[in-house]
Amino acid sequence: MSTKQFLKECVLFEGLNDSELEKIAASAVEKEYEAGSTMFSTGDAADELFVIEEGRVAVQMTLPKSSGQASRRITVDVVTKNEIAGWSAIVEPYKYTFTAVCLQKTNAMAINGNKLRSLLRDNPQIGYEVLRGLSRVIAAGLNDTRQVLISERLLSSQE
Amino acid sequence: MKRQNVRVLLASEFTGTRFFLRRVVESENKAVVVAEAENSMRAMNLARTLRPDVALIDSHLPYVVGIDNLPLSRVSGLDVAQSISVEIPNMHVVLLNSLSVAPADKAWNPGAGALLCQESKDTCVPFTLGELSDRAVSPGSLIFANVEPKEEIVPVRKASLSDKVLFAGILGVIAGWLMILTMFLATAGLFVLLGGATTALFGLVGKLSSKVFKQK
Repeated sequence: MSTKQFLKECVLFEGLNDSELEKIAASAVEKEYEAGSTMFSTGDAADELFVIEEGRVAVQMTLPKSSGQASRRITVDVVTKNEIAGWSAIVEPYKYTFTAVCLQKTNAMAINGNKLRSLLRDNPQIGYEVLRGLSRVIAAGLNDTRQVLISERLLSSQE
Repeated sequence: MKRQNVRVLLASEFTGTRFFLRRVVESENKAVVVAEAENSMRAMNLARTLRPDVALIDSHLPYVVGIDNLPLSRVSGLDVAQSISVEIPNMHVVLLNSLSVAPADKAWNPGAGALLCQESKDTCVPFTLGELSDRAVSPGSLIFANVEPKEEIVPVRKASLSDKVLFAGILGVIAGWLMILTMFLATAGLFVLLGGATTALFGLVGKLSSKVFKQK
C-alpha cells in the first residue's frame, strides 16, 4: 500500500483528495520501534505526528512524585492501527504532553511537524480538513474517557 | 545444588486466561503459581506481600474492574508492570501482549501446549521461567513477551558449513542427473534418427522402384 493510500485510511486525513494527500506524504517517513521502546516523552518538542501502521502504543501520563514515592505513569489511551499518536505536533505549544511506549513491535508513519504545520498554514483547505479530523479524534478520546469516568463512578456508588 | 522453585504471580482479568497461564507455568517442573490477580491493584498488593520471583502480567488489565465494550478500562497492565519493576527491583516482570487473541479467539490445539517468547527484532525468542530466574534483573526493566502455541515457533538457525556442503552436493547430484538424462536422450535420439532415416530410405527406394516398373 502506498503512503498516500495508507494516510487516506487515517481519520485525520480522510477528508483530503489525492493531490493534498501527496503533499502530506512528502513529509512522512516510515519508522520502526521495538517492544518497550519510547516513541516520544512528555515535555519533548513535538517534532513528529505518528500514524500507526502496525502494533500497539500506550499513551501515558506521568504523575508527579509524592512524598517518599517514585513517580508513576498512568496509561490514558492505547493507540493501534490507523490511529494517531502525538497530535501535539499540530497543537500549540507543540510539546508532547504524554509519553508513548510501544507495547509491541510497532511500525509508524512519522510526519514532520514543522512541514505539516507550514502545509496547514499555507493551504487553508488542507488545514480545515485536518483540523476537522483532529477534532473527531479528540472528541472520540474525550467520549471514551467520560464513559470510563461514569462507569467507575457508578461502580463505586454501588459499593 | 538443588534448584529452588520459581514462584510466579499471574495477573489477568479473565479466569479462563489465568487458568491457561497456570497451565503454561506448570508445564515447567520447577515453576509454581503462588497467586493470581484479576486487576492491577490486587496484582500490586500481592507482589508487595508475596515477593514472587516472576510476575506474568496481561497487558489488557483493568485497574479495578473491566467494563464491557470499553477497551480504555483495560489499559493498566503496563502501568502495574512498571510500578512493580521499580518498587521491587529483584523481580522479573513479564508483560504479555498476545493474550487479547489467546486463548479464547485463537485456534489453539489444547494438546500442543504453549510457550513464552520474548519479542526481539523480527522474531520471538522462546524462554522458560527457569532460565529467566537465572538471569540478573535490571531494576525498572520489563520483558515484553507473547504466549505462542508451541508449533508456531520456528527456531531460527544459521546454516553451518556442513549444511552448505550438503546443499552443494545435492545440487551437484541434480546437475549430474540432468546431464546423464541429456546424454541418454541424445543416444536415444541417435537411434530414432537412424531408424527414421532407414525407414525414409526404404520408402524412397519403394517409390523409385514403383515408378521404374510402371514405365516398363
